[in-house]
Amino acid sequence: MSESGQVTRPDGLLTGVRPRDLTIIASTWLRFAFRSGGGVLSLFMVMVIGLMIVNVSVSQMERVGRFMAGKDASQADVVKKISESNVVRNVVEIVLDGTDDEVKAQSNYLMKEKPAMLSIALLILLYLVPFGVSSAAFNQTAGDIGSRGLRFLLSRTERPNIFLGRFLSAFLFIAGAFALLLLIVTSYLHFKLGIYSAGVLYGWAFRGIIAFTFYSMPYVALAAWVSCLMDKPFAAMAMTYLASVGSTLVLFIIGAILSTAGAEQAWLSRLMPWGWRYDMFHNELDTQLLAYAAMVGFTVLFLFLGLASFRKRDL
Amino acid sequence: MSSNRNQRPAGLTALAIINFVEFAMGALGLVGAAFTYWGGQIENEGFTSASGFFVVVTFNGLLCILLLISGIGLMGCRKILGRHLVSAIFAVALIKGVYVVQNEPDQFDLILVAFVVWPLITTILVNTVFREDLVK
Repeated sequence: MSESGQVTRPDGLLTGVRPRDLTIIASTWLRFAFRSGGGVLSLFMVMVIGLMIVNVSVSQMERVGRFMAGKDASQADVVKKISESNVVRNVVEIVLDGTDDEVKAQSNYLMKEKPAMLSIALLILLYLVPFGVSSAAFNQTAGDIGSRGLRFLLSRTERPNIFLGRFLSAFLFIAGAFALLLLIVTSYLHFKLGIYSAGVLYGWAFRGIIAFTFYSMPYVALAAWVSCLMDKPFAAMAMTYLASVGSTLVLFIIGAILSTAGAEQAWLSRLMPWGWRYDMFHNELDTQLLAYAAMVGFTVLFLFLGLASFRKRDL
Repeated sequence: MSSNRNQRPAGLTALAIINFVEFAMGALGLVGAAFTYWGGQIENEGFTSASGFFVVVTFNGLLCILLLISGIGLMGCRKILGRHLVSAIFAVALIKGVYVVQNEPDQFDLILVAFVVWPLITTILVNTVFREDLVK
C-alpha cells in the first residue's frame, strides 16, 4: 500500500511491455544492424559461406556422378545412389555421434526416408548456426550502453521493450536469413539434380527451416544476455562467441576427459542447445518434441537472465 | 541522420571490404583459370568447349574489375561508382549465371548461386538502407 492509499504491485520482469513499442524498436534495430556492419557481415556469413560449405559436399558428389554417369544411369541417378550409399550413411552415423541402433535408425530416416542430399546439407549447416547468430546478434544493446545512446530511448519506453524488441528483431533477421539459405539450397537441388519430387524436397526443407528457427532462438537469447552485460561492441562480440561456441568447446574437452576416465559424459553436451541439434531431425516424434522443448527452455532461461540483468544494470 | 551524412556507416565499409575480398577471390580464380588453360585441362574442368571457358573467364574478369571499382566507390560514398556499379555487378553476375546454366551446365554450382545472390542482397542494401549515404 502506498502513501496515497493505492495498492502497488512489485515490478515484474515484463512490466511495461507494449507491443507497439516492441514493433518500433524491432524495426529500428534491424536498420541499425545493417548500418553498423554486424547485419551485413552475418548475412554474408550465412548466405555466401553457408552456400560455399554446402557446395563442398554437393559438388564433390556431382563431380563423381559426372564421371560415373553412362548409358545406364544419368548423373542425377549416380548422385542419388552415392548419397544413399552405406559409405555416406556411415559418415552420417559418425557425425550423429554413435553407432548404436538408435543412431542407425536416425541415419536410415535421414538418408533413406528423406531426401539424402538435403539431409546432408542440413546436418552441415547446423554447424553454422552459432557462428551466424553470434555475428548477427552480439550488438543488441552493448554499443548503445557504451555510447549512452540508450538514455534517449529510456525516456520514451520501458527497459523490457528495448531488450525484447531487439531480441525479436535479431531473431527474425537470423531466422529469415537461414530460411532463405535453405530455400536456395533446396531449389538448387530441385532444379539442378531433380532426383527428388518437389513435394518431398520442399516439405523436408520446411521441416529444416522450422528446426533452424528453433535452434537459432536460444543463441539469439544468449547473445542478448551477453550483450546487455557489456558496454563495448567488440567485447560483446568476443564474449558472445565465447559463450556460444567457446562453451561448447569447453564442454567437448571436459567430455573427452571424462570419457578417457571411463565416466558417463553424454549428458554434458545437453547443457547447451548444441547437444540437442540433431534430435530435431530424429525419426521419433517424442525425441523431436523434446529437442524443440529444450530450445524453447534454453531461450526462456537466457531471456530471463538477460532481462533480469538489463533491468538492474546502470545505463 | 543528416548530421552524420559525411560519415561513412560501418555497414558500408563492411560491404566495401566484402567487395575487395570477392575481388581477391576472383583474381585468384583467374590465376587458376590461366593454369587450367596452359595445362590443357579445360575439358577436365567440365567445360563443354574452349569458347565457353573463355566466355566464363571474361565474365569473371569483368566482375573482378567491377568489384574493385565499386569497392572503392562504396568507401568514397559515391553514387555512380558505388550504388549504380553495385547494381551493374548484379546484372553482370545474373547474365553470367544464365549463360552458364544454358551453355556450361557442369559449371552451375552453389558458388555461382552465391555470387548471384550476394550482389542481389548488396544491390537491395545500397538502394534502401545506404541510399542516403551514397550521394557524392
